[in-house]
This record gives sequence, C-alpha cells and structure tokens, in this order.
Amino acid sequence: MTHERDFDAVARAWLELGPDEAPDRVIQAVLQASEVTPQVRRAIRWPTWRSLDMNRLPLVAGAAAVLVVVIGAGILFTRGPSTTGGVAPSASPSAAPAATPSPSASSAAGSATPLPAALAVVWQGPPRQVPNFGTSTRTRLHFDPSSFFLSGDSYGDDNLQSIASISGPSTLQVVSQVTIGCAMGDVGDYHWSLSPKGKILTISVIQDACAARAAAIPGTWYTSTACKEDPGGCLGDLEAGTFQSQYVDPALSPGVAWGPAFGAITYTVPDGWSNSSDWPATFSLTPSADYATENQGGSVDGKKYQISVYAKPAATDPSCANTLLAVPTTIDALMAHVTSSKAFTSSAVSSTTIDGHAAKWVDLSLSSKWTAKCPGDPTPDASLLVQRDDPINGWGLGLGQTGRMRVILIDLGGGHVGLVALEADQPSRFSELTTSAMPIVESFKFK
Amino acid sequence: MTVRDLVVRAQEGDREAFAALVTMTSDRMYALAARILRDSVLAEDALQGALITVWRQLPSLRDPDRFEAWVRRLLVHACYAEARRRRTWAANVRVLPVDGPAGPDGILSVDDRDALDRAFRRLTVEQRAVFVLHHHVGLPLTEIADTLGVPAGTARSRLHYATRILRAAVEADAAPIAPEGRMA
Repeated sequence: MTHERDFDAVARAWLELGPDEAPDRVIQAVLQASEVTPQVRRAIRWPTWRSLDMNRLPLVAGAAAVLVVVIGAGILFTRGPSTTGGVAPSASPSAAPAATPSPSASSAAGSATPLPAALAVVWQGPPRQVPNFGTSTRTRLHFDPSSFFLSGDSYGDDNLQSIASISGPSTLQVVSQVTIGCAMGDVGDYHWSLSPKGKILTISVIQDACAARAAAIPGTWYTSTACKEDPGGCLGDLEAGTFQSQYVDPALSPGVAWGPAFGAITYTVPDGWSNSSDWPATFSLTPSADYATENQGGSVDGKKYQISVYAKPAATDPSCANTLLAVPTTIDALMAHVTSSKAFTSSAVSSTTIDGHAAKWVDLSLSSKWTAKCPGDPTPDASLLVQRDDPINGWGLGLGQTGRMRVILIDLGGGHVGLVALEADQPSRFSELTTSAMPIVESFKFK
Repeated sequence: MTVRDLVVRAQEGDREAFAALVTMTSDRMYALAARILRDSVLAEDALQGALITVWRQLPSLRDPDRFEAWVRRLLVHACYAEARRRRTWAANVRVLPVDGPAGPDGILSVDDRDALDRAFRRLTVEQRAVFVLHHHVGLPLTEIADTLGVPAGTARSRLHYATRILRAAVEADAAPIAPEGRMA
C-alpha cells in the first residue's frame, strides 16, 4: 500500500516533469498585444454606480456597452425595491444593530448602501438545480460589501457575478456584471434575514430578471467564518438552531468516490455549541467553551470533549496495528466486538432509535487490567474501531487510561453503520457530556 | 526597482515595466498551466490569454504586493476556459513533453508516470488546478482557496478527490488487488 507520504513524493516527482520555460513566441505575442490593447480603468469606488469606465478611446464599442448598462442599472436602481415585486418588506434583519443597514434613502438618490458585515460573508447551502449550470452537490453564495457571485462544486466558481447593495430595511439588490449565467444589467431584488447570531441567512426572491440567479439565491444558508482548523471547512461557533453538515458522508460505500455530501447530517443544538470539524469521514460538535481552547490542530492533548461522528466503522484489534478484524458491518456485530474486547470495561448495552434508525450504545473505559500500550505511547491504551476503507491513514478510535467514551452505533440501512462517539478525556466530565450531548445526537437526521 | 514598483508603474500604463513583469513571471506561470492542462499548446494559449488579461486589468489590482497571486488566479481561470473550449480531455493527443526517463531520485517509475497521466485526465480542471497548486507550487490549502477565490473547504474537497483518484491509480499499478477489507 502506498502511504500518504510516499504518494506525495511520487506526485511531486511526477509534477516536476514537464516544461518550465515559457516559449519566447508567447511572451512576444503578449508584449505585442499590450502595445495595441488599452488597459481597463475600473473606477469601482463604491458606492458610485458608475462602476465601469475606460480611459482609452479605442474600445469605443465596449465603453458604449458599459455606458448603456450603467445608465440602465442606474434607472433600474433608482426605481427602488418597492416597485419591483409589490411585496411588502418583512421584518428587519436581525443582525447586530451596528451592522443593520438603514433604509435606502441613499439608494433613492442613486448611490448604493453596502451590505452589512454580517451579510457580506460566504454562505453555503444545499444542492440545488440552477438553470444553465445544472445541479451542484453544494452551493455557496459569496457576498462582500458590494458584490456577489455563486460557486458550486460541479459548476465552478465566479458565476452570476453581480454588484450588490442594500435597497431597503430587509431587502438587497443585485445587478449582473459581465458574467456567466445572467445578462449584464439584470436586476434582482431579494428579502433577507439573519438568525439572532448571524449564523443562518434566510433569503427569498422578490423578482429577478436572471432566472439562474433567482434559482440559486433563495433558501437557507449557513456561514462558516469561525472554523478554526480550516476556514470554511466547518461552521465553528453555532447558535441555538438547526444546521447541516457539509462534507461528512456516514453512508458512503467503500470504494465509492467521495464528494461533498451537504446535509448528510442535520442536527439541532442549543446555544453554546460549535461545529469543530467536518471532513469526509469525520465530523464533530464541541461545547463552545472547550472549542475556545482548541487550536488549528483541534483539541489540546488530554482535553478532548466532544461529539464525534465517524464514517465506515470497522473492528480492529486493540494493539493499534490497525488490522481489520473479520467482523460483519452490523450494529449487533460491531457492538459485540466493542463489548467483548478485553481492553475495555463496558456498561450494559442500551437500545434507542435515532431518526427512525435502530441504534445501540454503550459506555466504555479502559480496563484496569489492560497494561498494553500502543507503540510510542507512555501509558496503557487500546484501539477499538478504525475506518474500514482506510485503516492506516483514516480515523482510528481508541481509549487511554483516563478517557471515557460512549459509543453509539446506528443502523443507517443499506449496510451502512453510523458511529457516534461521545469522547471525554477527563472522566469527571463524562456524565456532563452525555447529559448535554445525547439530546443533540437524538436530533440527528441522516440523509 | 522592486516588483511592487514595477506593478505600480505597469498599472499606470508603463509597458516596459509590464514587460519586466512578464519576463519575471512567465516561466512559472507556463509551468503551472502546462501541468494543469497537460498539453503544451493549450498551456501556451492559456498563458497568452492570461497575461493579456493581466495587462488589461492591472489598474484594478488593489494591492500590488498581491501581484503574483493575482496573476496565478487569472492564469488558472484561463486554464479553465481553455479546457472547456477545447474539450480535449478524453482524447488528448498532444502529450506534454517530458524531460528525462523518470523522476528525480528514482522515486517515480515509468509505471507510476503512466498511471498518473491516465488518472489525471479523469480529473476536472478545477481539481487539477488545486492538486498542482498544492503539490507543485507548494501552496497550503488556505492560500489556494484565496488564490482561486473559493472557500477553503472547496479547495480541500477538490484536493481530496484528486488525491484519492491519483493515489488509487498509483496503488493499482504498484500492487495486486487486495481482497476488500483486508488492506493492511
């Protein structure tokens, strides 16, 4: 088996092959082109709407086209949002007051109000069908104070590029630039609102001349600006509410290529929890107070305290050799493996139902009689379960002397078993973890 | 004169400064395009298109210190455009010229190279770009995301997928197929 490190070396060596010198003819062609090609002078000095300007006359046609659009946009914009759809604005967005825009007096005067900071972030949402683009496994809205674009896993980046501005107490307006998916100058008006802490955006269309944008933008969106280990890779600090995972896929069959599985897990948390990681085969929720002590690499040694989801669990021997045991992938067989291991002391097995799926759980600690150590570890410990299709480089679950763990195995159907572990490195906090975490686990809905 | 000085002067329309910037960056950018597209002709077209765009759009570059990252982004997008316009992934006969029979230090066998060449063609151009930026240019994922203007998670998932496909190709060539579930 080629290990990750070996593969990296092979990949780098392979990429070193190939040309490293740009042909002179290309450079000459570029320099010749620059002699006859004017530069584009963009005067996007927000908030003016005269966003495109050229200071050279040779591109008269281009300049004229831009002028038409600028004038058109200006006319459309000065109509104000109240004339666009006949829909009364909803309640004001509930972002922090400082970030909430004032009504669009300035809009009526022809200038634009920037999007508030709470809105001007990247929002991610579920798959959707967008005309001319098809279906993406996950969609992202990219807002900054004055612009918008759409990206998706299956249709690339930088689509539907538009100028964006606040047009009313709870409305925003987007005007297409030269872009893929909309005609230049297409105007769209939308209602928007934020959840109390700004983690969830709800947005609906009032009207939009661009059908693709009208299909892409409406819905419920989540922001992930607070993910420590990988910006955008998890949601970070949450607020009370219902959220969806983006990457983890607990029901992926071994050998099937992974892709972002937005919404594979829908979960509901009270205030005070964070989504601390979200990877193809692992996912975690951590109390925010503990998440505050984590760094980019995750929890500090000896202080792990979280709900973890692991995809594709398989039985392994306790020696940390990561060998797979011939244990069927069913919750009964895996639970029998867990409870029969001499390395662990287990509670009685309990049964429950999660999202209609049969589940079993057990509490574990390392047996006081277990003295073996995994290679390199100073104190006794043992491994329990590993990632079935990648036991060497994938995740592994085990316990040391002080740790306590609740292992929850869920029958997801189709031969898939979901593994949820409540992990507490400090035994004194285990009871508190199970009490606070079980309602969250019981809220899980699997897609 | 610093790169920043050259960028500022080029932004003001100084073609000599722009020529100096082209000379400084074109080899790196060509190498990047050639590795993403695996086709020297497409790479030349992407480089040419990107550098002309650089000239035209230079006044809009807000931070001259970000010049190289900005050029890289334009180049990658030019690669996207070339790839989609030509639609030659499945039957690409203009193979990339290769210097030497194998990689450095004997790490790369001919079989590895063939396996990677074949598998790489199965990737989307977006996945290729992230893989090359990570393994050849050496950018961390966050910087790749910044360069491409995509969320870090998107860069990560593209790299994950590309790595999975390419690693599987190398492993398939390197070892007999193991029974499922007995990989170790």
